[in-house]
Amino acid sequence: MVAAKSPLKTTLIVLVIAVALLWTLFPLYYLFLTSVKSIRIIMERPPRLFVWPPSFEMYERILIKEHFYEFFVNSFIIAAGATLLALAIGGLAAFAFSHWKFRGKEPLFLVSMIGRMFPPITTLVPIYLMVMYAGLLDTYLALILIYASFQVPLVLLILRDFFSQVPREISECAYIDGCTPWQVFIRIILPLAKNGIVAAGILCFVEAWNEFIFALVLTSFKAKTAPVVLATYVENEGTLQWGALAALGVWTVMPTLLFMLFLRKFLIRGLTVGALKA
Amino acid sequence: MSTTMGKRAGSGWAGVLRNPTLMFLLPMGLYLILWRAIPLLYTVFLSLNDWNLVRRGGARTFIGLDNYVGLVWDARFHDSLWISFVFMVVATGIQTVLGVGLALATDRSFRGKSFVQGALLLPMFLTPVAVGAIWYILFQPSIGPVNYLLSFLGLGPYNMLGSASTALWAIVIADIWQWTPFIYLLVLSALQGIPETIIEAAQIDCASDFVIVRKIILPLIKGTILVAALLRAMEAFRVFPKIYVMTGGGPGHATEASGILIYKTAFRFFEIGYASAMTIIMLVLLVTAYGFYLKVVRRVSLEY
Repeated sequence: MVAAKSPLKTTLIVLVIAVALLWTLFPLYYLFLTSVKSIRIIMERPPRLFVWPPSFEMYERILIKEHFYEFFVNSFIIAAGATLLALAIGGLAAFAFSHWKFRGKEPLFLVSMIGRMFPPITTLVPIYLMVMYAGLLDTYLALILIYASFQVPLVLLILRDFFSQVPREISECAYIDGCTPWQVFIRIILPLAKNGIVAAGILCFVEAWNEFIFALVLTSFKAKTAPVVLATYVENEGTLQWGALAALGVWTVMPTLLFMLFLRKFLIRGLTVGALKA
Repeated sequence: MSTTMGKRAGSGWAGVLRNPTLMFLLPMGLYLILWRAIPLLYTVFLSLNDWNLVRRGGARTFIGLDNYVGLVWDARFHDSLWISFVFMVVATGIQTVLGVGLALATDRSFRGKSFVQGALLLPMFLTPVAVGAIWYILFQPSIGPVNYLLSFLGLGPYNMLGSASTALWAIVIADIWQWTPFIYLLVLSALQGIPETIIEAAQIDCASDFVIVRKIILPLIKGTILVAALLRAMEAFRVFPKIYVMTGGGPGHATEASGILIYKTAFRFFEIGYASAMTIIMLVLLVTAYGFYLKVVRRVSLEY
């Protein structure tokens, strides 16, 4: 925006960017590095900043021999389930908010958003009791239902924005041709707003994958998710099994890294809309 | 058009289904009432009870406001609020300054721009527990490079996470690492919305870059910065996973923020009535603080 003219200023900006990159990427690099160091090299002083050949022994031990891959499967099923549910519920509401006028529309929208404003921890205790009474402790279903409830307002926010960009004439033509609202929604709006659905879906998935406190309280073994396993691993083996700990860490951040590499545009678009329209 | 169109299209259906607006809104309404509104009211109810899930066979007694009276004198709870507050203010403040600075520095065309912006945004999408684990490793005296760096500078060896006076700052650093990108992203998108012509006009008038940033760009993006900082502060106040992983609230109670204390009270000591009262107090404080903040924001934006 502001054009760099003097060489001094250019140098300064390059320096700032270089420091920022180093600061951002080094911790991630060090996590990966720790996961591929052998036990002997990990303890070396000064810490080595490069190892060759990398040893993937920890990944094999943690994921396959100690069956930790099961928890990543859990995380995946729960995050995917919550994403689909939130998209369905939030998508329907977003259609109504973007295409119809009705009484109390604005207040209703604000009330739906409040759900996102107050901290999830405020409902931790009652939700624990509700889930316990329903006999759903340590099940996929409990976490799917709860995570979806966190994400519905976000989906509504993002999809309302995308749905209202579909030109009105298109849906009006469809009504004249005798389509029901349901058909307009399924056949016209959804296909035309598929970028928005991908953006909202990815953001939901990432947030559900990352969630910790409810997973910590509501699961004990069968439905344990990756962050819970990682946190308890730090608690129990934190000072002993550095390589294994780092390998678990690498696996936990993997989905996000993949999304950032391949679908960054959607992730960022969804987040910007989600944050600024609120 | 909408309502009439809706009615005509749904004229054959019975009951609720006759109104398509309702049909599209009902699932969300019921869902949010079940998972957000009812639990919140239930918390209020729980806070008025003495209820320990293990003691006395888990019997519940209605005690009115006694839990709240207890909280007035509970120093550990007061400390936790103070820790959350300090954490929120320091972390959000530094994130805002760094995020705005970085956005100003990278909002220009240069080679590798897309890579740089993508890389700088990365931490905000990572699992907070994993971020905690990363910094837990980095701060370790035995294997982490931070401590090596400190001793290289003649300041160590020093266990930042193991000392009550520095543990909170170590967590603040991890939080800054993860969430500066959030401010950066929002400010960057605001900068991209400023028309080039405004800047060019100022350059023609020979305004220095410093003056352009100070007098033109910052006033234009002030609203975005305030909103971004507010959103960040709301998240920072309820910080949980990083503390849980990096210190568990210790050493002693040095990093026991409100979220950690509420969790321990409810799920380690099983005092769910008392924990609910803490939750309500925290919520009331948050709502008051945001109300106040929004008022300030409104006044600041009116000044210009």
